Amino acid sequence: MPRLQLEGVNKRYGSFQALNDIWLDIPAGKLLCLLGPSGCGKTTILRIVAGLETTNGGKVLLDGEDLVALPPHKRDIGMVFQSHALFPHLSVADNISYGLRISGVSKLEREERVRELLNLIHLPNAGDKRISQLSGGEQQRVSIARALARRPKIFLLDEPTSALDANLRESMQIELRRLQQSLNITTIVVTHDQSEAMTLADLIVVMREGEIEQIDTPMNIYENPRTEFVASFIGATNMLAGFWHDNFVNIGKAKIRTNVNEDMSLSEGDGVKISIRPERVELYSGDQIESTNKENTLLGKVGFVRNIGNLIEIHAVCGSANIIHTFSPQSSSQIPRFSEGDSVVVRLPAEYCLAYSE
Amino acid sequence: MSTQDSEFRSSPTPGFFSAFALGIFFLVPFAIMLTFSFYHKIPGGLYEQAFEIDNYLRFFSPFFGRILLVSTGLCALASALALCIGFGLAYSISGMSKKGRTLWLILLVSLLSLSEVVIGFAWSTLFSRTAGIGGWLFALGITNSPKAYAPGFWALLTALTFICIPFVVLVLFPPLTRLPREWVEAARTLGATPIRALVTVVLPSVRTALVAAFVLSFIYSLGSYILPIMLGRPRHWTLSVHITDQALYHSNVPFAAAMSIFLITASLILIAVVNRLQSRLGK
Repeated sequence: MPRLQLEGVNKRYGSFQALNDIWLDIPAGKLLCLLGPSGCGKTTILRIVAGLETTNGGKVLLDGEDLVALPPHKRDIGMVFQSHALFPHLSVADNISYGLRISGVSKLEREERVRELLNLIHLPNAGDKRISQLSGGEQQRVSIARALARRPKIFLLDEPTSALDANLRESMQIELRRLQQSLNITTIVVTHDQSEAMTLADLIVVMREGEIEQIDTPMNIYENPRTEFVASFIGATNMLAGFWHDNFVNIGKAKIRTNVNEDMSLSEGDGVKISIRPERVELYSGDQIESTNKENTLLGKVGFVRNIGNLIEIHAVCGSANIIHTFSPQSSSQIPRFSEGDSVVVRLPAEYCLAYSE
Repeated sequence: MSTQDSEFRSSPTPGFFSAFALGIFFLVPFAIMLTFSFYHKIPGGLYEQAFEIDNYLRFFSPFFGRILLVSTGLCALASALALCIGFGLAYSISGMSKKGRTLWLILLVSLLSLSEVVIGFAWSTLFSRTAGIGGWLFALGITNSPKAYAPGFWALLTALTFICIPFVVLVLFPPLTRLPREWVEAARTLGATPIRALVTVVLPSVRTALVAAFVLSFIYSLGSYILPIMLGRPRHWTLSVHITDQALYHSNVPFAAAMSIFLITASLILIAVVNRLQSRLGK
């Protein structure tokens, strides 16, 4: 099964460095998500793998063979574009069989493959339709079928669900993941949507300004973000500023013990930021102060409470910090007893407090 | 639709203006020409009122058949060449930066502003024995003696192609600019070479504009008068030249009028057929 590697890939547009020394190793049959804000270089990586962009140094290896000198039509890849890029002058069946026709596959084989793919994308009777007769979701499926028709070694998807509405997007993500797993095809997906990345990926690559910030499994990226950027980009987090003193982070009068990254060296008085996920924050009412373990606690007042159905969110104002606590109530009896203005104790469990030097 | 829009559309002024313009600039001259085409020519340069179809019967003569064949063949060939060159040019321009596009479009529009006489003189100089290509080829040792290439079929074909190219580019440029580049990229990732992607994706996507550009070029070149006189021999003259020749030099206004009616009718039929074809293709 094919394995894709990028070794030291660079890309410049004039004086702008779009990609800086990118190293990636995508295991065979896995789905890798390139995640990051607009302009971080994720689509450029995809286009370089597809052969639609040249590089300024580095290698793109498919099973050890460097693809850099190969034009797109010789790379054996299938790509789904953000806008679907379906050919409006062709029917659905002709769109799907386009690559097969180009490759000289016989009409009989083409028809058989188109039938197979139309069943795979749950549009068995859409072959004769025009592209304009399809909904956004159906167009998306046809573009996936077209990209898979030639049984490519690598499957690339550029923001595959961004053109769809919210409900459809979620179901397409699940469908896409199932499809990729059933075909066991090495896949790269570009997205700026973190929930899409969490749903689809075996591995997530978080990118920023042309560089890789972190490569890891979705859960590790969420639980152990290596940088402040990753922590704030993936999911909601509380980011609290303090300074390093006597192996603690001092935030106002509170001393917070943290889970310090081993390769981070801190000196006395250094500025530090603590990241803790809202669901890891513990909240106690004022009368529970005495009984609460006072380590890693801050005193504050409830500033805002909201119930969004499956989640209750409470904002506690502790000095200059606004700390968000969320939890999922199991029953109506768990609806919070906190209301705005109540005195509270906020506890930040040390094992979930990740520290980053400023 | 806003209230203002609907008020504007229901107002009789725009419709009236169109009808007025069509009447004054097309229907009235057409009616006069149609009337003259049935008149009888009197030897000595005059004509008298009559209703005879002799002028139209002359269309079935070998003389008219040859004129028609030369005119349509030459103009169709020039339009086809202009379409090939113009498509390549328009496709290249559509891929340029905004500045590059603007410069090219200004250049093409300025070509349109040139008089056919100026263009004719420029090409006749270029094709001349001493100052143009003939002299250069001799100086380079490619030919044994300086040779003139005009007047002649190829000189006329070149000039007619040249005057049609700006029209082709201006018709093709908007749809090519709107054409998503992702379509070509998608074709490339599906195994198509650049040429294959062009033929299987780009050309079919702008087929309506291609047909429109060809028809426009064909009708425009069919109406060309100066270039066939300056660069062609009498056997290469187009219908427009013969119309003028009949009207001014043979003083046969009725036959010239009949040929004009034929030219206009043929053009209108061509446009109607193309429109029909396009709406079928569009379905």
